[in-house]
Amino acid sequence: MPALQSCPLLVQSDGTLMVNESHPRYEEARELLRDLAELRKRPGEWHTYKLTPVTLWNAAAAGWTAERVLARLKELARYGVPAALEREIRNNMGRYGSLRLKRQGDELRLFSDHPGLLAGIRSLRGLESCFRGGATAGSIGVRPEARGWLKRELIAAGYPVIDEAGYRSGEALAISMGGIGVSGRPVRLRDYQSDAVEAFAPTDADRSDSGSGVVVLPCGAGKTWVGMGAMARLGCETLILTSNALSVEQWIRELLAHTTLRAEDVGSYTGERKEVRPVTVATYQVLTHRKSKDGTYPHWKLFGDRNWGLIIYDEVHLLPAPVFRMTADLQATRRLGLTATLVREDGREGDVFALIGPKRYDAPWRSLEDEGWIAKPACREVRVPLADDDFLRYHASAKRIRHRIAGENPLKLGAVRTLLNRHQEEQTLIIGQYLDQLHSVADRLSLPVITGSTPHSRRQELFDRFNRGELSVLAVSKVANFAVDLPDAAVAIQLSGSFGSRQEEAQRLGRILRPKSGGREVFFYSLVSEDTDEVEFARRRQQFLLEQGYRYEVDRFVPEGWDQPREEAKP
Amino acid sequence: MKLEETLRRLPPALRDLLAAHPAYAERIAKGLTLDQAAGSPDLPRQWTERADPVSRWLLRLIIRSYGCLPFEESALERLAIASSAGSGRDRPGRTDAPDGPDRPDGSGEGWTGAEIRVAVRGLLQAGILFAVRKAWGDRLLYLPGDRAPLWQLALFPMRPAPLPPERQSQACSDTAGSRLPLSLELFLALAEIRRGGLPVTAKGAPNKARIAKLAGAMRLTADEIRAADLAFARPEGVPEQAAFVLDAALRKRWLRRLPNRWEAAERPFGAGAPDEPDLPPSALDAELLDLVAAEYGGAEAALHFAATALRGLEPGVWYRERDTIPAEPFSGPSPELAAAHGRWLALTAALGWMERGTAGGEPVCRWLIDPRPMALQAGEPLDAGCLIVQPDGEIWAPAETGMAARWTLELLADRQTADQAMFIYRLTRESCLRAHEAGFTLRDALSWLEAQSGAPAPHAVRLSLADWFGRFGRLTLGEETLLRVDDAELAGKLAQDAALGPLLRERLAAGVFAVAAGKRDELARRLRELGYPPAAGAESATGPDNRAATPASQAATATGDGAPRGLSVYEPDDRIPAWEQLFPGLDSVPPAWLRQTGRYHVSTRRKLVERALAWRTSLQVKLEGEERLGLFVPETLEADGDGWRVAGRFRDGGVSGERLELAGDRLAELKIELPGEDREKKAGAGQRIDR
Repeated sequence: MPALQSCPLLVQSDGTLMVNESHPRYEEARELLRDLAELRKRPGEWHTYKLTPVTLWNAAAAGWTAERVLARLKELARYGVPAALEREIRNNMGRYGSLRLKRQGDELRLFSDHPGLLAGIRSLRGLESCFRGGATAGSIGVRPEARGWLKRELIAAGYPVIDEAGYRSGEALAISMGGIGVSGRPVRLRDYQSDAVEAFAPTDADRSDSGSGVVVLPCGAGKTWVGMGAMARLGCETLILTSNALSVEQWIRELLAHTTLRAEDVGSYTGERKEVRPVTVATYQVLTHRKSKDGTYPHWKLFGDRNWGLIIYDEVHLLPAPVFRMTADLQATRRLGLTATLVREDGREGDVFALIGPKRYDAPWRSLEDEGWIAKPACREVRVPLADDDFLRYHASAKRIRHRIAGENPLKLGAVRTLLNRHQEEQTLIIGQYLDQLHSVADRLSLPVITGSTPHSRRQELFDRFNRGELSVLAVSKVANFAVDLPDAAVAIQLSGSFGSRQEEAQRLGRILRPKSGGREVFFYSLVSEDTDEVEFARRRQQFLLEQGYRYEVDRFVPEGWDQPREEAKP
Repeated sequence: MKLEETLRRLPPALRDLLAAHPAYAERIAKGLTLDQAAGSPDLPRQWTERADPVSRWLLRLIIRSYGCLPFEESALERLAIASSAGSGRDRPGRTDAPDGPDRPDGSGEGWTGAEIRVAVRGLLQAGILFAVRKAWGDRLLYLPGDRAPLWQLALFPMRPAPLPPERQSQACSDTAGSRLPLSLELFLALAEIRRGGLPVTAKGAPNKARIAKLAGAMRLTADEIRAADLAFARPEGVPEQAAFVLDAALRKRWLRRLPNRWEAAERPFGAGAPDEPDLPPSALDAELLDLVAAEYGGAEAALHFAATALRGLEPGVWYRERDTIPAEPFSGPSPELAAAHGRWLALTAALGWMERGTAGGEPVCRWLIDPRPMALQAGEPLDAGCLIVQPDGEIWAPAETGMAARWTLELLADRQTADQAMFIYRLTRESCLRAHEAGFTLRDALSWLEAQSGAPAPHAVRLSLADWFGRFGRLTLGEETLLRVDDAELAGKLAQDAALGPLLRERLAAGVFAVAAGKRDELARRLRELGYPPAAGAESATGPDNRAATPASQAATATGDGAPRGLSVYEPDDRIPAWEQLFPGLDSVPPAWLRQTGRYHVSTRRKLVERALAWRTSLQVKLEGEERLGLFVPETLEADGDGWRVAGRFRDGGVSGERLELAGDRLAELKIELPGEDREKKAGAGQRIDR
């Protein structure tokens, strides 16, 4: 087919769509893609989107028909729309609306206009126990406890269920935003935060299929605020699940500072304390704790302890598998997932969709950066050579051990020292994977250290001192990867990291992304042992950020007394 | 055989004759070469407008009956006479024959053998038909494979109406999965062979595991090729789709058979040099459509005819399939052509060139490529596109990316996805190592990427490439010729010999010397002079792999690829018979028999009729008691008691009448009618280049 250069979209058979932001019709294409597809990456001027069954079902839910979708795509596609994709679009959008879960009296029933479809579904293996009673014309009874499981299985089979059975309201709890922000003005949500709340829980209450889903915002963009906004919008008792006890405390602090909730309304449910209050903040660990491998989960009862109207899953990309199982039983309760990235290292993005809900809102990192809502980082990889002994040891070791040798390269200490000298005026975090290394660096530089074994009170004290500016440098282990609010941190030095975890790199960068006064630049350094596999791991770690449009520079650290580096291959 | 090869093999005398033909002379006068003139895309249309009815009719018959298959002249004559005689009455579709260009030529029914022979001669003179001579002297005539479609499209223009614009968008494609056009299927197969090799067994069959991998990666299926029922060599154990793709690659000489393996040509799609156009896949598909239609479809005249008819449709526009079925030229709808049309549609859809679907419940189809023969597309601008290099190391090759660029990219980066709209690659350390081993330096890789993308390489890509290439080429593995001496004293003496000095590169140990490159023989000579002849088992570098590659031409000959139906193994035949040679015994015939009608004795009349029958020509006849002369085509002559009678038909205004029998004495006046006689005489007795 002749190529139409005047068209901005490249459409592939597998639903991948590419658009160039400098094309004159870019805006037109972006508007369309926002409705139909999800942004996968935007490393440069070309942005990649993906049409998936889920995005198409979302589009169908928003009123799009297959014919309209195809007509618009054909208007914008440079090489036309491949036949295979055309059929996928018709199939997927055609299926949307064919199954609806509704309440009929006290009973939950699955309705379809296609009786053959219901018969087919009844015969799907593993779903027999989800149904009860016989099928009547166009519907079949569903066991209430099977609501999540059934939806998940049917989505996996390619049949989305419009869940119109509604959510329980939960116990009412009057909450509104309040308090004074750092600027001295009353707090209010930023526009994108309001948009995220609206996308999650629309003011238009007729959209009975909404009210559950995931909001994706970069670190530092205020996901907690979206959570609070959702609570205020729904006005109900809420269970908040997060990744660690420190984060529990930060949530509670934010809730008390910026909402009308009183201290007696908010409880902490962790290894140390077990308070169940109208708003309860718990860790994933405590929920999944059990005495033996085959034992029951004693803290699951928390889900039933109160009449929750909303469950918030913070850092949803870290949600442990047992919590997915619990979530399948909680489909009558509204669920809000919060995350900076939907990338799950275990590849279970589909479960997040099925059990928490579809992505309701996503703001590209760079857009927020351009608008000044998050700081602009300068990302730099610093190559540090290995000393001769370590170099020999590295090459004589098994692959797995090599990574540790490279990660713990003692010469990184000199690089850290140089960087601290360079940024004496900035609040700096030194983040490390290996505790021995972290303690060694902290000892040599006389820095306080926070690791998993640091008591919470001590952690909080150190974070508070850091936030007040009494400490300018903190050494932290991976406990600080997530959900730690350090608004003034402007420099992060990554000593070592997991093999190639893309989300870890993003999370660590997130520690310094809170906008700084005067729009000051922030700095993210990643120390990497030269001529080792760590270079390749670093490249993989940087992938997510490159895809978000960030740029890495590479420096080489020359330890004191070393000759200048050998002649590098120059492009 | 193609026109270009035909002309290249043509004897100079015949080339001169062709150059003098008015149609070519006119073009040559405007600065074209003979080859260009003969290949002019507008020639068929012009010729069709000007040709005499019998030649036009005959060429139509050749196209329909043979396509680009070779044929014997006598067989053609028999076929032509039979078709001509039968068409007036016996063919049921006669009155339903389509209007338009079929009708005027239909007026030529009842052509005599002599007229046919003269027309054949004219087609040879005009450089439309060509001839080869078999070893035992038989002649085969043929239409060059690349010209046959042009003639068909000029002589049988089929212009069905596409679906109206408002229904175009309602057409739904039935294409299953993601298709690739044959150009890209072939490309991927060749890339896989380059990367992983394709060893063959001692019997010459490709390695089963490798061929299964190749076949498994194709979107083309064995069933689709099987259903097309094409004639081509399928090595034992090779799935049909792989066999077809490899066969096409062999024919294009993109693949070579070597004694122990099959090997992709080094640069099958050109060098990708800046001054050389880099063809996008669409251009290659046009070439491949020519190849597939001529060499696979061409093996069956009906299939070739149906295939060529479809090439007159507009690309990208939906048609109802039933409107695209060609009718039998002389009799209307034909089950044979309908079946051939169905097979070809299915094949072109399988090859990613055609899309089929439904509109309003009716089967519809549309071309995804420009189906016109290459000769009609020549000179049109090619829009080879740019690569897109992403900062995250992905390289995108959009649909219009040139094939040579794609071939290089396969070396430099790892392919992630292959979709018709876009191939996506990723730069990796392993891919860069591969490129390094193929001779790329960092500078080469960057400058190539920048030249192909038309933009500076993104920062992150430069960094990654510098990292990866920076480790390559710093160490070298080499092999040395060593001179080992079993005695340190002798070694010391040798080291002092002035003549040996330049031959020894370095003393590696007390009794070991590295021999200077290329000096081994000279060193051995000097050692013999010194009285220390070296042992034959002296260490040396492993010699080069001496397994000589079979030249592509030999390999091709072995498989018969590249030379459809073996025409190129025959000598070109440069004999265009003189007009007189079409009528053996002309010299012994009284000129009066040919010049004017006369009254003859009944025995002489018989001789005239017998001569006309032998020449398979007609007679001008005035019957006893009638005034009017008529053109009578005799068919048989039989004795009738003491006399004789002739059976045949009168042809009036080009239309044959009923068969009738005439007693010899009813032919009052007669003369033998020889076609082309006036023209030849005016032209001065014709050209004779007969040897």
